[in-house]
Amino acid sequence: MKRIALLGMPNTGKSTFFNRITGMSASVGNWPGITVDLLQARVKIDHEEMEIVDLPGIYDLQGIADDEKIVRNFLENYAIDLVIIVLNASQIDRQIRLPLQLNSLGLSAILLLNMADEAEGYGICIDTKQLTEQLSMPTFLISAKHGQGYLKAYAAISKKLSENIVSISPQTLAMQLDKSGDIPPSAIAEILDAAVEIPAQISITWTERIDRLLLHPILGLPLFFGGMFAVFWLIWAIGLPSQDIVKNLAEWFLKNCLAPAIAPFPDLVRDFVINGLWNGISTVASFVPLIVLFFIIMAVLEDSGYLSRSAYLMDGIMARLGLDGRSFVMQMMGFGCNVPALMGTRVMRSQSLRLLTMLTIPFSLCSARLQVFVFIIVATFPNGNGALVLFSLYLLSFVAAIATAAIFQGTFPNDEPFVLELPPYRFPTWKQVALRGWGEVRTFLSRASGFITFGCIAVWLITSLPVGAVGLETIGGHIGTFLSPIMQPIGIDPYLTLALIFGFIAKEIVIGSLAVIYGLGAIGVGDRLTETVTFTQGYSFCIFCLLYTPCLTTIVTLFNETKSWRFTLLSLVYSLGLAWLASFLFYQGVQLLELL
Amino acid sequence: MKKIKPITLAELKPRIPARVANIVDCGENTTLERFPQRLEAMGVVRDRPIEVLRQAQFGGLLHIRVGTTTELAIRRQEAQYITVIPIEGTQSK
Repeated sequence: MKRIALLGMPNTGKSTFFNRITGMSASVGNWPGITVDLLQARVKIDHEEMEIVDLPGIYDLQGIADDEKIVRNFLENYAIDLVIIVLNASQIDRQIRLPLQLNSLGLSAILLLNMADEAEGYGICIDTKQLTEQLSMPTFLISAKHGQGYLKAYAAISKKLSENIVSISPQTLAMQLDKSGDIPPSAIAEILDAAVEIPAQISITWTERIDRLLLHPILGLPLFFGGMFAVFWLIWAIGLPSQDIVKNLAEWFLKNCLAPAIAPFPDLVRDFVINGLWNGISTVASFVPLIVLFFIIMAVLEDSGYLSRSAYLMDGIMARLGLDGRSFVMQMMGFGCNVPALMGTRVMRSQSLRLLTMLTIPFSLCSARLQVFVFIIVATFPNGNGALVLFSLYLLSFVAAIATAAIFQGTFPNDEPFVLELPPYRFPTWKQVALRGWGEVRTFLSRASGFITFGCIAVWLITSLPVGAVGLETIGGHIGTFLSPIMQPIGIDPYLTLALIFGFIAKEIVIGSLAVIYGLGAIGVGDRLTETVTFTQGYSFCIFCLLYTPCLTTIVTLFNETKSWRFTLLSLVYSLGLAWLASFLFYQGVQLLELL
Repeated sequence: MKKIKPITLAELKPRIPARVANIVDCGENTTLERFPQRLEAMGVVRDRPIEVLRQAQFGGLLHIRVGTTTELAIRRQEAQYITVIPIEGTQSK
């Protein structure tokens, strides 16, 4: 099967072109020897099935940044029949460097100058015939977003592929890559002079006007925080209720379809199917609307160009913690759900920066933990201002993230030079946004569902065995009792310990599991907590719940994104330790104060 | 005509048009290896117009424009590796 690779600089609309040519069929591919997942798809071009791979956007084929190494590694290991280079037409004056670098390698290539509409708006004239000749590769002006010029380019791609050019072997290519040097500026100037006309000055653009406000030295940051709050509110106002809708649907299905269907089976089997399998799977399903919404917002923020601007605004503060502006954005996103926030760190180029950011994200107080806190606060702090208690937990979430960055910035030193492109503001199309949301959800589901199902079965087993046992007599109960020497000093009894063990799977089941553990309904559990748990113990429980391992899905995502067991384990052990220490200091501190 | 000495981009005041004079070689085997090439790919090339549009708060990034259509955010620290020459007659602005 023939293989096509998409190559281009960042912010050139390469992914938009990829989506256009592949439709909805893209999937995440795992290439041996390549450390990150690459998007790939199979498409039929001229009745022949081809494989298209979307390589990370890079500036320099010879570069040493992580992305650039990945691209190089790919070219050196996998044979390619055609390279499609995607550039931003309005920045051809500098981006022409990439096709020139590729030209010296002897790969068969086609050059697409994307965002042709934008270039026209700037008054930039590009003579594609001249460029085709000079670069000896077919060159086309297109707009991947709106479709202009796409059919012509597509025809050329299919023609080029039918020529059956013998592709050069990866080994030869590796040698060529070693030999080829930098492109002298004079070579670039020569080509540009002949084929491209760029006005020396452009009139004041919309982008400039918007930037004057949004990047304003004094107003910029408040506007940014206002915007973040709006995003947070959107996730809150639309995402949480939509989660309830899915939950209700799941409950309806359980009552009217699943339960009757398995009614003839013995109790143990029914219990397993409902409490072991179905509850776990429907919990994962309830995350779907939240993730769709989150990624739609992310896509709008990123494609509009504001995400890189928010990084510009926050960088001064974050740099001191060894992070950069984008880390902060992900932190905020984590308040919705940690999982997509972790996935969002993919925009970072430096691996150690990414790891440091990923270490701090699990401390973001996500919506699932919020449910637990509200329940516990209401039960153990009945007469006071619960909102204030809740706010203190949000503060703690920030403090934990900042402290973590400060502690680990030496371990993950981020000294990669930081230069960021600020692309002009653009309107994302609905199609773009929808495609993105759909693609991410598919990825999430395929990754998370297996682990969650497995985890839920495991929890069911330890709380149901031995058969007939309930509460502390079950295996889980024994574990809770066994752990009490560690948990007693932080004020958490065996029942609550068991709930925390379930919380390891997902925070959504913490409250539900308390019901199973106590063998009571939700209202009964609240009353029982009020009777048996003091506020100090309840708050200590909340601290622990906030800081310890977020949930199984987050851990799996951490591993998937880093491909490192060591890092995943570090994150797990560190957060567990921090949780215990913080709870210990709080609980014992209060005990001490009460003695005085 | 007085010859203007190059200054670093970090020293260039906002809204003063200038031209790129040079990118200081950052040496090999450091994290800044091939950083000049990265800048070049981003459009910071000798003799091209360059301008600081604004500076972020708290010693943050510089928002710069190189050429006609490329805008970048760069840390002050890295901006020291770029030397520029302010364009004549605009210095007193």
